[in-house]
Amino acid sequence: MFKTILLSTDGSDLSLKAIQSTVEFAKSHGSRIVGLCVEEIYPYFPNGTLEGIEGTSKFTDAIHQEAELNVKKIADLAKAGGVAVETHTVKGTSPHEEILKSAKKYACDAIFMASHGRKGLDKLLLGSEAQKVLVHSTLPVMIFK
Amino acid sequence: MFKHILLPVDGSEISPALIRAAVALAKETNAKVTGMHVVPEFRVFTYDAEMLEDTKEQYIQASKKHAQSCLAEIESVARIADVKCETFYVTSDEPHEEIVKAAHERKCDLIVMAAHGRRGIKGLLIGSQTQKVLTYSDIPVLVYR
Repeated sequence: MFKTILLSTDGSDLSLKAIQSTVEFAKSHGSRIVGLCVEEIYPYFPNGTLEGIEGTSKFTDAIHQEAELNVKKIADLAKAGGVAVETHTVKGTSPHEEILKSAKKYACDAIFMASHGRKGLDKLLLGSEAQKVLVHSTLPVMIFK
Repeated sequence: MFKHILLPVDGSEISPALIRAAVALAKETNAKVTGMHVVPEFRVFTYDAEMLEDTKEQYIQASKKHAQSCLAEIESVARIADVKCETFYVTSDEPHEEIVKAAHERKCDLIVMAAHGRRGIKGLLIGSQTQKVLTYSDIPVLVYR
């Protein structure tokens, strides 16, 4: 059905559930997975850049490490399930934009993601990034709850 | 992976493509499809009681026909693809409520629906019913554009 699925994770528990479901789906439908984690760079800096502020490299390194761990989860579960997989991390201030850009870059025909991430009011609203992906995507989007 | 797909349709222009996609998905894993259509409640536009009775009757007949033709399309596509299928329609002003209820009552494990329906500003927002189904559903939702 879908040949190449863009699977986005933010390391949350719900994302893990989405990863497990996506691997199962890919296995049943013969899809391959392109795993993605967006390293959200905090845009709240006094002069609009990271220049001249101490300790920023530790901060960005830590975020990068976390993103790598998050996509490794996708790679591990996919491989265990016998599903073809490649993973990427990308830096950006807008997760939904990076997700949509990546889906295009890696020629995906669907986007799979969790409904909520780490932030937000669980069970009441649709997460903001999932919301934005849905509104702007031209590809089908699978939302896991 | 998914064994029972709920496919709500409202007869808008995306419906044929949506139906083909849902049936194709079901075909790959021998899943069953339940198509559904929600007819809006009759709304009173006149103070003339006699006219009202006729108008309501006409509305009910016309809506029934419309519902049946939407659902017949699902049945026909499913039959050709040799996918197990059943369909039904209900009357309600809250389609999302009926959709979530149906998914629960009929033990569906996936909802496939369009990003927009008949109403709303296309290309700008996600349809209100899709939005609400995403908020209240316990099961995954695959959203098509």
